[in-house]
Amino acid sequence: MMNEDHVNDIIQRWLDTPEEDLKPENYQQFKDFGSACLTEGDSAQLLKFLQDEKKQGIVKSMGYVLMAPLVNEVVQKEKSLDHCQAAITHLTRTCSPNKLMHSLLELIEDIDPGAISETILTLVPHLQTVLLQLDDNKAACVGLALTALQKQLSRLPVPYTQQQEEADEYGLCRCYNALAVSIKPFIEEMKRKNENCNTTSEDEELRTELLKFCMRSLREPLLEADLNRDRKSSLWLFATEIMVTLPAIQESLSELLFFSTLKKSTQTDNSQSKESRACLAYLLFVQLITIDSFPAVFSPVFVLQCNMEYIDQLLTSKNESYLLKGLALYAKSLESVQDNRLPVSLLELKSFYSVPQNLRHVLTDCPMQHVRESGLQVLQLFINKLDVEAKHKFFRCMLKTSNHAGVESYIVKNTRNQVEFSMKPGNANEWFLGEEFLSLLGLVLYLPQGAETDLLNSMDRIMESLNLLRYILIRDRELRRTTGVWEELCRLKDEYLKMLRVCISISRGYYSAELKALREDQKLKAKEARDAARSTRLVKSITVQHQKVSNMSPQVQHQVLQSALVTFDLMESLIVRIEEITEEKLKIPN
Amino acid sequence: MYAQEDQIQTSSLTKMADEVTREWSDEQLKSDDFPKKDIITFIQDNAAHSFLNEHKLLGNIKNVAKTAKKEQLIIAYNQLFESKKFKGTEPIEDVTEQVKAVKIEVKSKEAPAEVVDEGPPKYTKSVLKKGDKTNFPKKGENVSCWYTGTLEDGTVFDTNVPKTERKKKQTKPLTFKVGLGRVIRGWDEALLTMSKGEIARLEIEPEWAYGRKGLPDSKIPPNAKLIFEVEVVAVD
Repeated sequence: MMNEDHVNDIIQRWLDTPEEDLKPENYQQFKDFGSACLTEGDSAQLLKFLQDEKKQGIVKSMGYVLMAPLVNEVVQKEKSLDHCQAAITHLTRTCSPNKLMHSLLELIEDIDPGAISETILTLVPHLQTVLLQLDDNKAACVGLALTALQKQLSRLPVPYTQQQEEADEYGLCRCYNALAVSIKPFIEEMKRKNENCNTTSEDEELRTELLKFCMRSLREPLLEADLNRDRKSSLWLFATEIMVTLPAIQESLSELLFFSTLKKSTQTDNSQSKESRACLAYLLFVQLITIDSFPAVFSPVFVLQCNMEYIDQLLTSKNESYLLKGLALYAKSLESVQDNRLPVSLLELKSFYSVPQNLRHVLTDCPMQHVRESGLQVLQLFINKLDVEAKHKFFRCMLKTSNHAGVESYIVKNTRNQVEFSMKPGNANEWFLGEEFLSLLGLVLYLPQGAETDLLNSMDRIMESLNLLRYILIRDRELRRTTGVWEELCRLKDEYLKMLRVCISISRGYYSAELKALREDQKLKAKEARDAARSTRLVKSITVQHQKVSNMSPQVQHQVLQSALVTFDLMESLIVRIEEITEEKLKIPN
Repeated sequence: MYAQEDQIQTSSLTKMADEVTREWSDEQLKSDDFPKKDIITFIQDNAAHSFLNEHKLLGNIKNVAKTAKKEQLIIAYNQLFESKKFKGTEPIEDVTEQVKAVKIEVKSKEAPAEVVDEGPPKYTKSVLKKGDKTNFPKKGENVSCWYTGTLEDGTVFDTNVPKTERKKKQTKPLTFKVGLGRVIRGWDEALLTMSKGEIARLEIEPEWAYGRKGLPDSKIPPNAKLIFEVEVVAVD
């Protein structure tokens, strides 16, 4: 607690010292003085001091050190908000912008993690004032400020549901919108300079910083947000701001989306940059933000081709928001392409291989059902757009690589549909009806583990394969036309069915034994229970037949084993039916 | 390029209708040994463009052979002599169409074609202002242009022309590599025929634009014919 005379002495000393002679101790003293005033609730007095005409020399040289304490005071929302705000405003108009900038950047760096959004919301308007006053290093400072602010904001969780967004508990939405507002004067200035063809290298630097801000924002928070054009939420509005800013700073969306990947410069190719552009593609093509000013001359196949890079990036993520956006972009890009249009040469492109593989992983591994369902729809849409040869190649690829009965059965079902389609007049093709079909059929009628195939695990796939076989045999006329094809087909069929019968017999034997053992064990347990109930003696031991230790209750185990046996019956009956048809066809002359 | 064009024009104009004689009899044609391709070649060489179009005999011989039955070809052969719709019996506008068709066919032979020749070009071009006639873009080269796209009813669905002349100085025209399928086919085909400075009006059929699907998000309905006014600013 300093007495007034002592304080006045110090103040007088400051007043008498020219700026260049002021030492760090002086600055620290001044800062302490200010902080003390605030802690003691004397913000009014501090404001008076700062606004005092006679003290302007000190304020001008040393005032900036008070920014931190003043801002923190405002953030803590303790009494005297107005005085502090007025004090800050005065400082931003009086002190050197460069020094102020320095202290503000330090402030951002040292933000209290519990008060990130409050501090940023307090700071941003004043930051803007300071930045607008800078001369030659404005662009660099804008860049530093935006980077620092976004770094702090990335520590806040992005709201994902409508309720979360409306509540905006952590203030993230408010902050981003405040940032968007704060950069507007810089954009306007750039627009004016462009119009007058008056741009300098400093302007170019500013443009770059603003672009970086937009790209960072696309990735964080927008890629994680749930954006929906029917619900123009806070983050939707922020997204729109970004989309509008880009053309305002002369950044063409078509250049960004389509032509930077083709240029393949190292700067634009890293995964973060791809994620930003993926979000951009999503906002444009799926959410239709600023689509009306996007050129309507590109071919849908080209748009798909470019977007595949972004879809690939998004589908490699495990984040639900990224996945849903990737799937939506994929679906949207496919919808503009006419059916049966995509040529086989496209499948040679890396992204056209990678995306379906990633999609497959989503279908088999993603724990979220709605994502898997969405994924399956998109897979079918993709298949529908491939031309006949491409479908053939794709089916073969998936059968070879998926190692998953569910996916394989889906492909086999599609194969059957294609065979049916090809049999219609005018649709004949070698890929599903001629010699080429055999290479695909060979992969369908194939049991990779031979006699040890787990029939239950592969049930879906096997049933679909048998259905396909049955269909081909009934509608055999088309396939019989090409010489050699039918013979080879029958050979494949015979080998497959032979192997399948072996598998069924082995499996049936095993499961029957298991079921019998289970029943025996149940009988034994029941008998022992009755005996125990009758006698007072404790049962010493329960003999247990050899069984795999299972967590399932005996009733459930029983059900499982029974249904397994039923499955084998089903498969066998289909095989029998196939053989019946074969017999019938042999009787009919060609 | 223009020299070639003139050559083709003159030759088809000077070919007289009664120079074409019937070489084969029906029995010869029907014979299993007589290849379809020979009939097709003959008809393509001698029939008028409209005749070929009518009988679906335009385009790559291999493809025509795949889709046309021998009986149909024999009928067409006979029809040709009956109707006398030989080359050189058509007015000049149709000849220009033939020239375009020939040019397109030549191009597709050069590049390994993914797209099968389907017949006459599905766009028309009227030159509003001539270009320098020397700087034509080649396939794969960059082309920059200003354009305005309208629907048949006059609705402007897209343009990159800024509202004021002053803004035009600070705006960049649309730039892309032509002939690679990056833009709608009508554009790819048309721009290859335009030289630097040329302004043309293109009317593109839906098959070479956005087809049955259209581009609803950009206000292009299904099966829309598109009209573009295009100015070629720069070639590579």
